[in-house]
Amino acid sequence: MISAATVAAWLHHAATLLDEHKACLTDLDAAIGDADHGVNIARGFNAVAQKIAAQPDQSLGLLFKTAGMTLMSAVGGASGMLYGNFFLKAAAVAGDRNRLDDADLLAVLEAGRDGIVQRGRAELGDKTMIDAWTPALATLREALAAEQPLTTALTRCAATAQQAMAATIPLQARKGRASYLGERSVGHQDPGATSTYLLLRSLSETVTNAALLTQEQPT
Amino acid sequence: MIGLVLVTHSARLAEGILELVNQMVQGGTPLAAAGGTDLPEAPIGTDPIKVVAAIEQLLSQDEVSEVLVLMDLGSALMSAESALDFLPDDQRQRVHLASAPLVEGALAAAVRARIGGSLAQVLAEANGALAAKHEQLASWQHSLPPLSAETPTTDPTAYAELTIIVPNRLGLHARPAARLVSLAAQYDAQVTLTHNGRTVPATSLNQVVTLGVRQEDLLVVRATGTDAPAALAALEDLALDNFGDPIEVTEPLEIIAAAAVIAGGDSFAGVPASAGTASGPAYRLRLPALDLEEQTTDDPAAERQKLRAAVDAVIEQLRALRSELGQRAGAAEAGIFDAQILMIHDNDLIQSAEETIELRRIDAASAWNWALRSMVARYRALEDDYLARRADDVADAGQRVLRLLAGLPAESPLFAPPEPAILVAAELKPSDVARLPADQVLGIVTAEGGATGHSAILARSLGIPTVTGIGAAAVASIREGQTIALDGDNGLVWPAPDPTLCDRLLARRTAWLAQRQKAQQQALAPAITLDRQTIQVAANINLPGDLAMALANGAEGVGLFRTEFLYMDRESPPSEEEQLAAYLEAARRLQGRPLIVRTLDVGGDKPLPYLRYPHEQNPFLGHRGLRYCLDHPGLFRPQLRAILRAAAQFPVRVMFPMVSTWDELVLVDALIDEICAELQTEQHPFDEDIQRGIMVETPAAVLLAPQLARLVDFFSIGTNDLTQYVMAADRGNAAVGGLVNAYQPAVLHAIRQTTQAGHAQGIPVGICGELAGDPRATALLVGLGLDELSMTATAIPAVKAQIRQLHTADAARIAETALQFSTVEEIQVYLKQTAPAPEKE
Ligand SMILES: Nc1ncnc2c1ncn2[C@@H]1O[C@H](COP(=O)(O)OP(=O)(O)O)[C@@H](O)[C@H]1O
Ligand SMILES: [Mg+2]
Repeated sequence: MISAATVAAWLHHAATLLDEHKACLTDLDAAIGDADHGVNIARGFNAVAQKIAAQPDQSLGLLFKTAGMTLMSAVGGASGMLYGNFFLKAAAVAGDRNRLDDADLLAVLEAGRDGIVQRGRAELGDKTMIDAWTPALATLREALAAEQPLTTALTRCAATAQQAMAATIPLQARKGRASYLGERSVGHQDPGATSTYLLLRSLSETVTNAALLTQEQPT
Repeated sequence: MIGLVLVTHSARLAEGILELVNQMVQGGTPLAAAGGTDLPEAPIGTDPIKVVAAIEQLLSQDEVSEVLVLMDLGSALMSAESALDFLPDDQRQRVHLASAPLVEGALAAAVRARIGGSLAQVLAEANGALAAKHEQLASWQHSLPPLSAETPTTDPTAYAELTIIVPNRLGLHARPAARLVSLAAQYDAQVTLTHNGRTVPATSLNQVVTLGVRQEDLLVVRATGTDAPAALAALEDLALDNFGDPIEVTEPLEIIAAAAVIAGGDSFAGVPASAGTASGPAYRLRLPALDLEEQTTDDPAAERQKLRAAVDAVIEQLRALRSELGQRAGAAEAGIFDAQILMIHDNDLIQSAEETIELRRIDAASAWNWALRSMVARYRALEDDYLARRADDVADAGQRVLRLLAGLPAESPLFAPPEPAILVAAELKPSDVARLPADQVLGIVTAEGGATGHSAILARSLGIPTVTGIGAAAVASIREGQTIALDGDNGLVWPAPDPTLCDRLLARRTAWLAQRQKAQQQALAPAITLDRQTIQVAANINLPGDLAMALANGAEGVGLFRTEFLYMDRESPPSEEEQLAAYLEAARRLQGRPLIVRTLDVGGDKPLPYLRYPHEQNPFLGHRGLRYCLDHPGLFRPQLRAILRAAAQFPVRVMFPMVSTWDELVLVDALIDEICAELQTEQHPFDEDIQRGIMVETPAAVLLAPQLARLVDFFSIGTNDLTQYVMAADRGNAAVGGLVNAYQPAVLHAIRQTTQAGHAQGIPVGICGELAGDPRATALLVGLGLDELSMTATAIPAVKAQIRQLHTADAARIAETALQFSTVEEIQVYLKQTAPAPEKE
């Protein structure tokens, strides 16, 4: 079970983490794209963090919608549209809920992922962020089905994303800017898959921290 | 009418197309553009909201029935699609997205729309817009080489990439970075590392370290060249292996920190090596900075050559240091030299020095100095503290090159803090301690060593509060200039002491200094027991220069002149004449008091650079002391000759270290006879009846003491070595430091046995180890019947004060009782209870 406050904390943490790694993400994009992914995505998420800080106590639907709309306008690149759609679709599933149980969270994330596919039409193996999202969410689904605690499940989900991110290196890009490079895109890690890993990692870290906090001071 | 919306990444491109189209349709077609973003810092890109606005603007015009959207690529498609999502259903049905080429499509569509085409007609026009172009340019196609399967494509593996999430707790600090650099250099590949927008060659340690990579940072490794895949695979393995650092305890810092918490919350626990307390800024040993005068040169090539040669030579020096330290302390500790080697064997650094030579036409040393300083500054500027501290390592290695270029011998580092400070070092060589400016050193903290290493002994003799053995990581965690505090009585070091603690330590220090001063005043008087027995109290010295301090403290002679210090810090052994001068100087300063000269005691922990030692598995059990000297008469003879000659004028005695057999003494006697005959013919005055003694410091000498006593004129018990040999525990090894305790009953029995054997033969027995200078042992030693106590100068006053409180009969009883006990704890507790302790320490 996670609260709207935890989701807001996730988005803040994601902004920090992406900002910390923006140079690296941009480096990755420089190799097979136009060297803007890190800067773009960091700017986008920082804008999201600011927006949601300015409008506290929103329902999850509104929170995700704010995030999605902000990303669409503040990123500029393909990833802005993709992550933006992720959050818009997530918003539709979350509706006016204020907390998500484990199954809700999975549903929200899967709807978001479907939003990315809907917008980008990438298939597995196209060397895009989808190559990170799909296996990572499959892990999450399995772990929750096996009744693992949410913190464990999310940790495993992030770990899968990390492996999947590295597994994009040998792939040849068939979607996005990198596809213009054809074979020359082989041997490089996909920047979008990398930011997806960071996003999932920040989710796992935030939820774990929140769990620790509630353990310490039971309400 | 059909309206057109243009979606592009660039506002200017949108403007341009609008201009182009309008020129043809003269404003006759409704047009709108969504070009670029509204983000000043990232104007190139697309924004679905702008697309929505453009569409709505057209749909709001009455004449516009439907809208066709044309776009460039990538996110423009996605923005357009997203825009449709945002439109209400009724509007969305009036909008269509076209996959037509943007410029040609816009022109064709606009023209068709103007003349009133339906949506389908306009779309068809746009989609067909390239046909005319194709047709016209078809005649050019043949001049291009056919695109075939054989078209050479770049081998994708020739340029490969790897992303590493750096696992090391301290980031890519010197040692893991060094491993990465050496590994990358082994492959026939150009490997680069990219981190936060900076790309550097993986073969430059300085550049790799100054990337400032921290734990969890992403590092992109790219490789080109034949071996690129292999290089990346190897680097990946290295990264998986935590770059060779231990995984669980990523750095020992954590263990130490944890241990410190147990020890008392905020301090590192070490070995109490020299009493007293101190607080003040921490400083390290430094190679002395050189005054360089810049010189211009006509022959830059020669200067470059010189530079390369110097760098190579220093690398050799560092390799030698590495293998020496590696043998003594293990490969992990020696790793810092590997890093230093890479730091100066660094293309970036060497090239920048060489460029300076070429551009400014100056000498190699000055150019190197320039390059080095900017490299050191780059390290200092790193945000990560741990990495910033590596600036010292670069500076140190670089200084070696400068000294070499300046034709100066490689010198040991100096302690030259801007204000009195606490010296913090990995390890101190006795020669380092010997050269310390005593008034600048508030205290000493070292990573290595126990309480009885030579450095600790020296520190004690200088009265410098010292804690040893706090561990390498603890030492590395202390920053230059940071205020720290230490308690040499209890072996504690506080890396961040609070002011009240400092005040407490200061108060203790003041009391300690006052007490020391009072004892010093009384020190000059002889040490006479309550029953009017006089006990000789002498000093141990290293160089004649130490005598001022010894005499000021009340020494009644020198019980141990450690002559190896005459042999240190030089390129060859001192000549006979030089030695003679030193012995005469010491004897003269003693004004008739006796001087016991111990012959060269080298080997083991006290190597001399110009003497060749075969590698020994166990130097402490190896070729050292008298054993070594007997086998090297070329070294030994000049010393014996000098001692014998000095003895002609003054009460000089000779003493041999590390004796374990009767035969050794027979050989020495024969050698002395031979030398006396030589001196006779050369007509040098000498004393052939010189008093000869031995250090009793091996279990063999203790057990054989009754026999050996017949061959010599005195015994002197060296409790430091004796303790480690009796206890079979290395005094430099902090792990067994507890065993190396002269109060161990086994050691005390050895002392008693030796004393009894000496006295039975009618020769005096002294003691010149650490124990002699410990006031807690005075009653015991007097009780055991020792005739002379020889100690580090600063211990003399307190020991004399103890003796004055003693009655020899009491002392004998105390000794008798102490020897009944079975454990070192019982003995120490007992001695504490019985000690007269006139002035509490
Ligand atoms: N069609 C797509 N479907 C899914 N992901 C995509 C698609 N196109 C691009 N991406 C992702 O977006 C990342 C690039 O993002 P970014 O640099 O912000 O966009 P742009 O290519 O517009 O500069 C890629 O690494 C890839 O993971
Ligand atoms: Mg990009």
